[in-house]
Amino acid sequence: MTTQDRNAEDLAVLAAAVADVTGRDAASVRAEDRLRADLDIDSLEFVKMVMTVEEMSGVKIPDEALASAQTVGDILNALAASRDRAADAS
Amino acid sequence: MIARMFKRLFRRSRPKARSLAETDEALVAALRAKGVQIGAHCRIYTDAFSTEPWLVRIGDNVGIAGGVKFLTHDGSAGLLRATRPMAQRLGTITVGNSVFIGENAILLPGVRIGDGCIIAPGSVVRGQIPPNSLVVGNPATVVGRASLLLARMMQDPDTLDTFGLDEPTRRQVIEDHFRRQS
Repeated sequence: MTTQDRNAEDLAVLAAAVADVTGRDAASVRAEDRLRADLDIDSLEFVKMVMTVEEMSGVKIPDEALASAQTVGDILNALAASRDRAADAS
Repeated sequence: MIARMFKRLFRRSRPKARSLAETDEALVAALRAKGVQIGAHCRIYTDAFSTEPWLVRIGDNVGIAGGVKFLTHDGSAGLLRATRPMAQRLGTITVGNSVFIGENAILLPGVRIGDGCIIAPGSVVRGQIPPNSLVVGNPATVVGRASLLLARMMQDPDTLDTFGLDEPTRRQVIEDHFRRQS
């Protein structure tokens, strides 16, 4: 799988999680969307969304990598970095 | 949202005429006298420990908001008494260390809450809750890691360093903060 394919797959996973917690159309979710201002995702929904992403992707994202995430893209970056770290460790 | 909600709920629960420290010590002492097993550094704002308070064990550094109910028996067992006149169905409740239980949550007989959990306000909790769980709803379900909620709360601009300030200073700091936002 190419990096581009992987990024598209990650966005699809995250978009599905956003749709799950907000009821929005997954197809409308973009990497530049702001979690609070654009998607109206509160702290509880954020935690739920991350759990869904981790279950769907099979990648555990450390809390500290998500503490300051403001956009969908920030979560995608944290997901990719966590996957790379896991691959390096194995 | 959760951070603001927790702060608001805790503030509501405090009696106005007494300091937080005085309230903690008096209530915790009274609950211990009834038989509730309570660890160190707990903040408890409910006295609803059912008719078997000695079946409840609470760890260290636990926060329990107002309106929380610990149910150590199942009242529906009364329906058995037509044929079994003294029947009671009972259960212990155990709360681990560093747990927060939000306003009006209900803990049913037999509940085991692991270390580091956050129970959202209004949750109805049954069964065993793994450590570091964020728990929400009726029936309560685990929706993620409590530690992630806290990591986000630490970075939240509305998380202020106001706990323990005298009330006029605290109010001033908070009002200034929200005035700057508006």
